[in-house]
Parts: sequence; structure tokens; C-alpha cells
Amino acid sequence: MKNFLEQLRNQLKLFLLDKINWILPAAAFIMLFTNTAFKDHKIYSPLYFNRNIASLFVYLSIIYSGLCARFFLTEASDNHHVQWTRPYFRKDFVLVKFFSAYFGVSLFLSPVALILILRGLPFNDLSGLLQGFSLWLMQFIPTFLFVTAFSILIGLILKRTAPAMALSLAVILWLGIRITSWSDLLSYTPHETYELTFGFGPALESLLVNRLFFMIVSMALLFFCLLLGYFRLPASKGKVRMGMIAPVSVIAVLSIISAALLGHHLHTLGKYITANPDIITLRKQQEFCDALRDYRLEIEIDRKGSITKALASVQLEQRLEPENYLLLIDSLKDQGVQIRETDVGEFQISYQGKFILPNYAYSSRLKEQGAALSGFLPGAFLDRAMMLMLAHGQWHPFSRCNLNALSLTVPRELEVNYHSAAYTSDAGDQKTYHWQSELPEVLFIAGGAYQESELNGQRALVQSHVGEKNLSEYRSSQERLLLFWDHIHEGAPISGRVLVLPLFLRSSFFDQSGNFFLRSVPVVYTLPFVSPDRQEIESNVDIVQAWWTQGRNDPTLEICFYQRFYCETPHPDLPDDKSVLPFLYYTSIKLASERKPEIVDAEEIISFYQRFIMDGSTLDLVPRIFSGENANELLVKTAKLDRCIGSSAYWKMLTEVRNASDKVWMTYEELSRAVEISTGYNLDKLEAQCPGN
Amino acid sequence: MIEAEKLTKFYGKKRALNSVDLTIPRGVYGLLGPNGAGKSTLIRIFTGTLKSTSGTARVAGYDCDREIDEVRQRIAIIPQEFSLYPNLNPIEFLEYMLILSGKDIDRKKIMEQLDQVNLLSHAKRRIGTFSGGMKQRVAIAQALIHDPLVIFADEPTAGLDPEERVRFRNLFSEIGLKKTVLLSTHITEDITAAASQLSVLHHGRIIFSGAAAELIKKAEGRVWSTTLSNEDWELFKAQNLIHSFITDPATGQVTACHTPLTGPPERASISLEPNLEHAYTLLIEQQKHGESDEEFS
Repeated sequence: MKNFLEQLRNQLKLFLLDKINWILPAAAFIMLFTNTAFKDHKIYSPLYFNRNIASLFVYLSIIYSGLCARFFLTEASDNHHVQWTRPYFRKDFVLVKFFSAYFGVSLFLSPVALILILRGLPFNDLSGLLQGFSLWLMQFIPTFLFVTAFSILIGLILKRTAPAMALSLAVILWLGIRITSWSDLLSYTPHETYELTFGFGPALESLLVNRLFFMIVSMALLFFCLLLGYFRLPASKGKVRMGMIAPVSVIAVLSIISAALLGHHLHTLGKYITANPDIITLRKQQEFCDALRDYRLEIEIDRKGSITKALASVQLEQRLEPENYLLLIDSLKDQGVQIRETDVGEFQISYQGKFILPNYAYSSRLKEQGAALSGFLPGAFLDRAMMLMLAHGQWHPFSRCNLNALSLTVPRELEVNYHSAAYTSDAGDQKTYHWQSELPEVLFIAGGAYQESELNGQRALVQSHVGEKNLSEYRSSQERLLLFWDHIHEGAPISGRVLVLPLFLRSSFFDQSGNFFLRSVPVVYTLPFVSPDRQEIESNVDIVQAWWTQGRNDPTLEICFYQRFYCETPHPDLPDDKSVLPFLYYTSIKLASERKPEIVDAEEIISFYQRFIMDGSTLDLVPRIFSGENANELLVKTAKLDRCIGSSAYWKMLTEVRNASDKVWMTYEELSRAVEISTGYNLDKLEAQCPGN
Repeated sequence: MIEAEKLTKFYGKKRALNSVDLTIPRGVYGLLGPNGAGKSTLIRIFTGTLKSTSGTARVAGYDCDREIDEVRQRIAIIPQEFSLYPNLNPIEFLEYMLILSGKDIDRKKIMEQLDQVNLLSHAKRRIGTFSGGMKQRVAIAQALIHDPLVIFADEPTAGLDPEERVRFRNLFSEIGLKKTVLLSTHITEDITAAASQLSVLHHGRIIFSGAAAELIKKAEGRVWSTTLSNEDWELFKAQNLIHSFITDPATGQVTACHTPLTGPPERASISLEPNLEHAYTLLIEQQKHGESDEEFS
């Protein structure tokens, strides 16, 4: 052992002294210091850093793969008989090279690691630092172990430096950048998940399994290298240490079996996570909802977050086959869904299984356009770490329909952060939560590190270790909410409380119960490069659109506000007429200029819009340009109407227009008619009705 | 100390060693042969970096195939071409070589060894900055650092300047007093200066084994010096094995040291005392002709 460590020390020294290997720390520093997230650390969280670290590691591991193959083959040429004729060189060669390369790259990247980890401190204090550190380790250790073992294997097979470097580099490059299936990615960067969710919620289990898989595969590869090295390395083999054969063989076999089992598990997880939404059923389920007379559900969840028993009772007013309308996620359908007709038009549907949330349920990034616009609310999820249940998540078979009653049984020890149940009952070590009719959208939050708090005097439920920067943004959002509420309800105090929901909610929304669910990632974090006035306006958009949708199960407005690409591309779920967007955007400008008059001048912005409509000269000065005929003109008309009728009437009109429709979207004609009914003014005749404005 | 019995090595279909029988006692032993004769192959088999196709090779009583670990404990190599770690200094390099030999790091011994090869003043310089001769000295130091019984030196003086070569030969002679040194080379002067016994390897076969004087004796009466005009030179060259020649630019005459290929010298030639190089060249030439005769027959 002493000799092995001495060899290791010397080979490590050789790795560190070899100047070509200095490319690694140099590249790491360049990537770090040129990274926007690093440069503007006031905006991005440690989680965002770590999301970037994942890509940084992929790029560095590609470079490292070539260098590692080269390092392994340093003594493979005929010029190194001096070493090969030594009794201890061949015996420990593969292991010494493996660990010295691995420790070498670890040492080279440690300064960057330290800098990044310390960057986590200003955000979440010690918890931020530890979180960053654990994610760093989770990403670094398996990725570089795998690349080291793989490069050595290639080196052993080819035994020539240049081809081995080229092949290692090419394969790791291919493994690192291909985005075909998240489960076999070299670095854990599932492309469909919202980047700030990395390491949390439903991604946690897959992250852990993915990392463990790469570690075990690395171990199996290393044993294969040892075996191959016995035959492929130069010089005679010498005596085999018989005492070592049995334990090494056992560990090798175990590692291969473990890799196979973990790979299978990973594949299963990947299958569920990357599953595509059933758009056809989603679109036609409304037909089933319309035919429902009664829809009740009893559901039981165990300590691991699995649904152990679920029984849905359905009464239909017309003849429909429930199996054609099921919208359960795949992991809950795999064990079979039993449908039993108990009476004419009455069905009992039972199912069970693990709750593995597909990306489409909570991520809108890079996913298929149809899925993004098909009416998913943020969804719901359960896993070992946290549980969030929304009324229209796909944990119940007809998730677009409203439940008439729900009873949810969970282990008593589960720490419940929030629930909207009408009443609860206890039985043994379980607790049951009951909802009856008119279920609010947010049903249940548990297992999260949440604490009762307050924001500007209003009751709030926020994450325990939230940083001061986030808290400050939450306070700002709450101020916007209060200001808006004050206008809409003419000074009546706000009834509900503010709840900051887990990370992957895309936008804020009002619940039917009056609670305001604030997005945990403030809008300014998603728009780091725009000016403060624009940030203020967009932050108000979040409040206004949340109020406008009234908690409806339709995210299309939010998508149009935040992801214009989807919005501008024709899609059956989107109306052609998107007049609601400029109409509400003016309200956001109005609110912004009221809250932050020193940076937002509504009059000036409207004048920019006017000049933009006339000659396009102020293209760069308008905060946002709306596509569609007369869309930007509608924004200016809304401003004119506001000036004409006065602010008080404007807010009243806004509420009345919203109440005039039970849809999220309204056509220009519908909007115009509702405005005229509310105010007596016609948007197309404002010049005549209200001259001078 | 070193023994080979019917040692044969094939590279694919090409035979590199052909049933080599060899017994090498303590002291410096020369292994002569032209390029491609099989010298490096023989050394690689003895040092365990290559496996023989058949036959046995033994060093210090241990089989080079089955007991290679024991062999490696007792040998060292100064290879023909070597790559020392350029980023290490000689002290670090020798430390590492001691570790690879399973020995404890002995800084005093390392310094003594560096002193012996005249590198003490450069002990902390990176090897990458060394000249060829200095690197060769490091190679010698690494071979001696773990006190081996047998040293295999494969063309150790190739590329050295005359002064360095003289120093090296003397060093090998000194080492040969206590250890076995197999000095493989095609430079006969090195053998003459350091080894009393030698073998000549040609096309994978031992064509001579014995004392250097014995080989030289075989060339007695066959080496001549002849002076001739430039016009006769081409014909003369075809009828003689030319060991060396010089041209006088003033007279245009050529003076050659030669061995007639057929019969005694025809012109007025002066008999010369042969040296090892003459004897070796003659031996190789005889082999070539012998082989071609076989081919033609």
C-alpha cells in the first residue's frame, strides 16, 4: 500500500507538472469568468451557477478525456523500458494512472470549485453554500470518474496516443452533447426541466440515480481496464496475486450487476420523465367533464410518495367510456387502471403506482409546442422530498375536470406546509384531508422547507432558507399585488395570504379562495438584461395576468406573455386574435408608473408607441412590440380610454371586462363590446368621443 | 548470470532470433551485431518486456518468463532510446525509480549516484533541459540506483561525443568489476575498451562467441594497406572488402585498408595488424557471402 501511494504521488506530480494538462484549469477559469451567471452574481442564484457547472463539466470532461488518454499512454511507447523493467510499475499501472489522473483533474478544478461554492454564500448563507457544494460534488465525481475510466479503456484498446486521444475525445463529445435521452447524459442536465429546479423536487431522484449509475459504470469499466491491462500492457505480466483474484472478481461482478440494475431503473425513470403528453385525450377530456354528474376521489399516499391506493367514483349523464378519457401520468398507469361499471353510467376506477412526474407537467422550455399550449397548469408532484398537489394535476384520471369531493390520506408524520381542505380526520398513523365541492387550485403542500412568515405585514408562507435578495423581490411583488388589489377592490383589504410556491411554478396566480400564489423565481430573475423600468412593467404583467385568469386551468396567456415564440406561431389552442395582451400590458405600464414613477413614465411610453405605430422610429424605445394587426394601436387606445374616463373608472372597467367573459382570451370585438358596455366609450370612436386625448 | 537456450523469437512470420544459445558470466560482456541483428530483441526478452516464442532465457538463475518478478528485482536497463520524465529533476526521477523497484527512498544514495555520473551540480534542474549526454548519465544513474546484479545496456553510447563515450566505457568497466553488464552495440571500440568477451549476432543467430582476441586472431593476415591511383579505384573496390580509405588530394592517390575477397593481394600491399572492427566486419561479410552462396545454391 505504501508503495502504491508513493507511485500515486509521483504520477500525480507528473500529471500536474505536464503543461498540456494546464489547459484544464485555464479553460475552467475562462469558462467561469466569461459566464454571464458568474459575472452578474447579484442576479443568479447558486442553483443557476450549478446548472452552469453541469455544462462547464461537460466541456471540461471532453478536453480531459483526450488528456487522460494521453497521460495513460505516456509510458506505453518503446522508450519507457526503464519503467517497465521495474518490478512494481506494471503491477499497479492501471490503478495508479486512474487515481492520479482523477486526483489531478480534481486538483486542477478545485480553485474554480472553491470560487463557485463561495459564491453561494451571499444567497442562502450556509445552506446555499452546502447546497452548491453538494451539487458540485454530485456533478463532478461521477462525470470525471466515468471519463477517466473510459479514456483509460480506450487507451488500453488502441495503445497509440494520437488515435486514443481522438477517439476518447470524440466519444465523450458525443456523450456529452447529445440530447436524445436525458438518462444517459454524461452530465445531469435534463434539457426539458426548468433550470432552476435542478436538484429539487421530481428531478432529485433521477439526479441521484443518474449520478450513482455513472459511478457504478465507472467502477465496472475500471475492473474491465484491470482485466484488459493484464493482457494488453507491455512487458511480461509476472505472477498473478492469487489472493486478489477472488475479491476483485466479486467486486467486478457486483459492479456489473449493479450497473445493469441501476441502468434499468434509470431507463424506467427516463421513460416516465420524458414521456410525451397525451394531447388528443387532453383536448377531448372536456367532453367527459361536461358529461360528469359527480366525480369523487379517495387517494392514499405512503411515506415514499407512492400512491398505494386510489379510487375514483364517477357518475356520467351520458354514455361515455371512461378508459378513452384517462389523463393519468404514465407511472400511475403502468400497474394497470381497473375500471368497473357499478351501475348504469356509474364507474369505479382504481389505480396505484409511483408518482414520477413527466417534464411536460411543469416545464415549458424547449418542449413540443402542442404540449406547451395544451392547457397544463403547473401540475402537481410528489416525491420523497416534497409534495405539491394542484386540483388539475394528472394524479387523478380526469384531471381537467373539477372534483366534487376528494379525500387524501397521508402518513401522519408528513410535515404539511399548507392545505386547503375543508376538514381533516385521523386514523392510526395516517391523517386524511377532505375537500368537498369547489376545490381550490392549490390543495396541498407538504415536505417543503417552508415557514410561516410575513411580507409587508401580510401573512405569508415562504421557503425557510430563502435569501434576502429573494425576500426583497417577494416584498416588491406583494407591494404590486396590494397596489393592484387596492385599485380593483377600491381599497378593500386583501383577504387571502401570500404563498410562495415551490420553484417550478411558471407564473403567479390567484386561487379561488383568495390566496395569492407567488412564483418563487421572481420575474426580474428571468429578465436579467433588460432595463429596470422594463423589469418593473414585466413584474406587473405577472400580477395582472394572474388576476385576469382567475386560477383557470389555462396557461396559454402566461405562455404568450413570457414566451413569445410559442405565442406567435399558429397553433389550434391559441386564438388568432390576441388583443388581450396589449390590453393587459397597458395596465401593467399604468401600475408600474404609479409604483415607480421615477423610472417608468407611462405618458412617455405611450408616446413612443404612437410614434412607433406611425413611422416605426421609436422601435428601440417601446418596452414590448405586439404582433398582430392593430395590436400596438390597441395599447395606445387603452391608454386614451384611461385618460378619457379617469383612473377610477378604468379599474372598474377592467374588472367588468374580465367578468364579461369566462374565458382567458377575448377577441377585439368582445373586448371592445365589454369596454363600451362598462364605460359607454367605443374603442374605435375614441377620437370623436374623447377629443384631445 | 545470463543464459539463453535455443531462444527463438518471431514477429509474425519474421524470425528475429534463431535458436540463440548464450552464457554470459560476471563482468562486461559485449554483444555486437549490425542494426536489425536482434540485439534489442534479445535484451527485451531478458528484461521481460518481450516474450520469446520458444526456448528459455534466465537471469541470475530465474526464468525470464515464469519468474519475471524475481528477474526484475535484479536487473536494470539502459535502453537505446529512452524517455525520462522531462518535468522531473534527477533527484525526483531517481526517487521514483527506487519506488518502482520496491525500495525505500534513500536521498544519500541518490546524491552519491548523481555524483558518480557527474550530475550533482545539476541535481535540481529539470531533465527536460539536459543535453543528450546528461540524459544518458541520468539513464546510467537510474540503472545503478537500486543496486542490480545485471545491467543490460543497449547501444548506450550512441550519439555521445568522444569524451563522453570514453567516460562511459570506463564507467562500464568499473561496474563490470562487481556486476554483470551486457553491453550491446555496433560500435566495436566500446567493446574493445570495456569487454574481454563478446558474442556477435547476425540475422538472429550467434555467429561468434568468445574472447575478443580470438575474434581478432581470425582476421590476422587478411587486412592490408594498399595505395593505388584514382583510376584503379573502382575495380579495386569491387575486388576487396574496404575497411577504410583516404584520398590524397595532391596526388589523387587512394590509400585503402582492405581485405581481398578472393586470394592474396595482387599489388604491393602492406600487411596490417587487425583490430576488432576489422575482424567483426570481416565476420559479417563472410556471413553475407555465405548466406548468398546458400541462396544461389
